[in-house]
Amino acid sequence: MDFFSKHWGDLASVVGLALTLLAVWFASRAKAAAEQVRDQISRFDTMAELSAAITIIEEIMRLQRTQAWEIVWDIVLDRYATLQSHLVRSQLGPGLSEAHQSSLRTAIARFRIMVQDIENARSESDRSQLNTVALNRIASEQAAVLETIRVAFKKAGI
Amino acid sequence: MDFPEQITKLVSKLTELSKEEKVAWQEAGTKNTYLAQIGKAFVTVALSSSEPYGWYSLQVADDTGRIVDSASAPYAGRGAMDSSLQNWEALRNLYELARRRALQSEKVVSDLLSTLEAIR
Repeated sequence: MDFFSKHWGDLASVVGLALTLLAVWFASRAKAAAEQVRDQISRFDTMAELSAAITIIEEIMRLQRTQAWEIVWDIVLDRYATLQSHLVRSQLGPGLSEAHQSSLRTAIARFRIMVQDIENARSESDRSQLNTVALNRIASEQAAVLETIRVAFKKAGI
Repeated sequence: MDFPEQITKLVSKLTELSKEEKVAWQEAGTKNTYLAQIGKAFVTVALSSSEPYGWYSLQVADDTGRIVDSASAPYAGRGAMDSSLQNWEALRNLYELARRRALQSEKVVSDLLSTLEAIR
């Protein structure tokens, strides 16, 4: 008892230090958990972007297959623009491997070249110069690449 | 008109590698246009005229799909300057190689010959 009355101040300091360390430990755990949740949400976002991109590619292919270019020029070009946005956001997503980022870069470039082909044909009002089969084949190949990335991404972390 | 030296080199190298089947040409979104991805860049060769001798062109796009260089060679006739004719012939050769590679002409013809042999 005498000891406590003599050293209560020291004991209080030790207890205070222990509580501080405990608080720091809890805070770091909470920070790590918050980062994990944020990373998880970002991964969900990337998955959603990839899924949306695939859906739009399928829609573009359906529109192109009609070959009714005079009717669908604007819609198709609008869908390509939206597709590019999804692909760019996917590419910026966390946790993508270098190979997947490279595939996404290629997809963005391929679609940009396709848009140029369509824009050129449109400006010359000559839809006959478009190779719809090739356009859809490239789109289909890229959709398969995106699906592969999506599946690999899903398996890797969500 | 002369091609810039780099373009001449590029056409020559692409022709050489295409002959060795080391460049993967594909049909592009525009008719009579073939595209190959080489490293991060994209190269397209096109025949953009239906005139008898055609107008050949080459475009180089960067890894974002933006066209960063191009060259074209219209047929200027036999009386044209040597360089114009050489450019036209060089692009025509490359275009033909790209077309045959993209459409797998040799394989199709070879399969056809095998089928014909089997019929005999």
